[in-house]
Amino acid sequence: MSLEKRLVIVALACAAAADAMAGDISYLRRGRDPDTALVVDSGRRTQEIRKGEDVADVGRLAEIDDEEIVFERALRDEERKDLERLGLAAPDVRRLHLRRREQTRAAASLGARATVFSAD
Amino acid sequence: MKSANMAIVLLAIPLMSSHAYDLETHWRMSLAATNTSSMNAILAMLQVGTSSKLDLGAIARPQINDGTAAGWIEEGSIVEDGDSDCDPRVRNHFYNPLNNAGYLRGVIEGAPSVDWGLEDRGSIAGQENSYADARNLFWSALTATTEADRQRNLALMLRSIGQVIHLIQDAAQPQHTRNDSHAGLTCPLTLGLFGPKSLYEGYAEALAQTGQLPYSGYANVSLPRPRDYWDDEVGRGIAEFSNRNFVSAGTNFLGPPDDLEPAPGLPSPNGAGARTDTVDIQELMPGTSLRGTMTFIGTLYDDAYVQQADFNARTSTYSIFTADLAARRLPPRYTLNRFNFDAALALLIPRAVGYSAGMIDHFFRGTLEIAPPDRFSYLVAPYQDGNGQFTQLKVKVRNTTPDADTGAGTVRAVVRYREAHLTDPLLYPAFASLDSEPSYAVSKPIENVSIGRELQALDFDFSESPIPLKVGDVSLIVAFRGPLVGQTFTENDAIAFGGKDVFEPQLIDFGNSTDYDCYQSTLYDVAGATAQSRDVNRDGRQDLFGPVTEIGSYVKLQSSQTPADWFAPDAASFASPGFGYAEFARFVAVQDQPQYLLMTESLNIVDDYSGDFSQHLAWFIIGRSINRLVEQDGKLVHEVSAYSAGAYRGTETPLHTDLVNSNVYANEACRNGIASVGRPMRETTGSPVGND
Repeated sequence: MSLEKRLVIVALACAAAADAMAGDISYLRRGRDPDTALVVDSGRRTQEIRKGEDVADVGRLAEIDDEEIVFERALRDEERKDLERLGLAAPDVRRLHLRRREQTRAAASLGARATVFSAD
Repeated sequence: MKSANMAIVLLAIPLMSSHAYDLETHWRMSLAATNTSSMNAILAMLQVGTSSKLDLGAIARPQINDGTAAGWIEEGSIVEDGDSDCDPRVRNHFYNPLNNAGYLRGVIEGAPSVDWGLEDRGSIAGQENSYADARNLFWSALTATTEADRQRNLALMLRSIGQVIHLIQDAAQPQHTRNDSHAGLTCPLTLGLFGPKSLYEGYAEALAQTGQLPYSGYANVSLPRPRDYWDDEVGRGIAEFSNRNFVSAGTNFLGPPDDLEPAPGLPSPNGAGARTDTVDIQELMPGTSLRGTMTFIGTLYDDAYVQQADFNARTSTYSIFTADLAARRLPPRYTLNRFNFDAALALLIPRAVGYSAGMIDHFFRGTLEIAPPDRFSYLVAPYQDGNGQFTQLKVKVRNTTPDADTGAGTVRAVVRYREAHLTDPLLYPAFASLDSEPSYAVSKPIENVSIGRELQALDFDFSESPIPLKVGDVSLIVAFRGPLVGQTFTENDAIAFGGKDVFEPQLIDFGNSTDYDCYQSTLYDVAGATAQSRDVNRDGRQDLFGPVTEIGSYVKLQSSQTPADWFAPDAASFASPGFGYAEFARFVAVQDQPQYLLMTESLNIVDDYSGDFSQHLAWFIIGRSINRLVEQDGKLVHEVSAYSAGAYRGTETPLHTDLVNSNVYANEACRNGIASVGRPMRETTGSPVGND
């Protein structure tokens, strides 16, 4: 086995998946109609959620596009007071942007003595 | 006839206010001007929401000023008249464009309002809120290092703009441009502003209070110089318009009705083209019990700015004495009443608003566009042992000011950010709460630089004001101060600026994990492995490979729209001198794209065991990190992205790219297992390319 065949770059799963994780769910793709999104829940079940639907501990699904979904959650008064006590900004609403879970792409070679791998 | 005219005068009196061109009138005109100006776009560039409150403690007129940018302009347009009806500063509110003089009555003199308002020909004692002052305040706000200073300077700048447009609004009142005293008798004689209280202003105020003044209908004015808004010497200034086309109580027509003469020293209006129109009072005031007629004098007026001329049918009115005086061959008298005022206000108030809005636009005319540098990332910094800071900002900038080019001036950059707390924002931005107030880092100035129409690279030195890495809500401002010169805009001490919202700092790790190889789903430590130990199944063939040493390892961040390809080391974003096995380097970068390409490249890789040589290039699409506060529908919204760290060989990181043996990558168990192998990664140094 040549050296070229043995060297690849890998983005670690823990890092690559981090952007797709929000609590216990990740965003796969749009659902059957524009107001739905396919997500994978904590039990690794794929389910379709609809805009306006509440997901526990994450918030209400507010926006869906090809690249991300956005959840909104109004902060409770006690949460805001806690932040204010610490001298921190106390937002009315927290919006969580959850990017679509990316798929790993196949490797491709460039150059005679190089091994090239790409993933997105 | 006589009794009828008397009745009209008496009817007008109850509409008079005891104030001058007054609170409600200036307030409403300024509000209308602010709403039609470019103010909202400017506020967005300044990262100030339209409902954001500025320097609340300094508000002097809380009934007018709610602390918003518009509120501060409105307060300025009120306080320019001072704290009392007869504040001495009002003597500086007159300007006669025919002789460029201010108020003059006996020995009492005021500065021309254009000089007072602009201070473009020298400072004037007692004036601290001129256009020139506003310029200084704007620069101070843009380059402030604390939120309190920034707010204070912004608020004062906006108030000063309000005070300047007050003077423009006054210049749309003929008494202010025809040296016609109208302060009323309640003012102390020492003030020198004699004359009866202005019926015109009182009437306007009454209409303003009942929502009947016409504010719209005249587009925002654009003239080359601030002074031109008063007087450009060719008739387009508002002072020139009001002076030339209207009479006032103290400067009404003279002479017989068939041979009208202008007031002394005021050649226009002069009766040329004048016509009279006698109207039945029943028609003027339907339902009144009065009987008789009124005779209006109409004259031509011209608007040199829009280059239109028309006819004002009610410039003046025969007084109740005109007929009797004419019969006795005595000089007649002319008067002004609510019908003249209505006609004048319909022409003057929309212009006062259009010129005021134009002045606001003029003040904020200078704009810059900010774009990413060739290396893609605005900020890049090494991150070692949990520490680091940005000390250089790379941007591209171009002048986008409509029709005005910069001369040589001063350029500074400002990075606005909020310190993050509760969690490390580089690792867990979604859970990092932000300071309630932003912080500011200001670069050293770059002197004697002009900014052209094409994007040009600028490097800003923040070594004396470094930017922390563990922050959120990052945005950039680049500000130029110096000449802006063009055919439609000329100012020697202008300011042009641009803002850019960028994403949050992202930690990127890259290194070498070739000290483990995989055979039949099991990871083997290959550092120092012998030929015998590399033949796991004892079949006489090598099963385990590596480790390798990288001599020079590079990371380049670039647009996801640009195809990945080999790159020269000096085009990298960050460079490491090289990695042995289990070594890595870290850096933090700031960019402005939702997703981007991360490429890693090593051009000289040597197998520690076999001595074989290789190169590699790899790339990944990376998503941005968000942790910022925005104002939305009056609510404060904390935008965050689901982006968080994981463990990798003794490190904690949200993004780690490593060179690994292909057998490791090919096997899921090994791929997942390498993150928790026994040998921890050792952190090494690296540096941004381009001496960042």
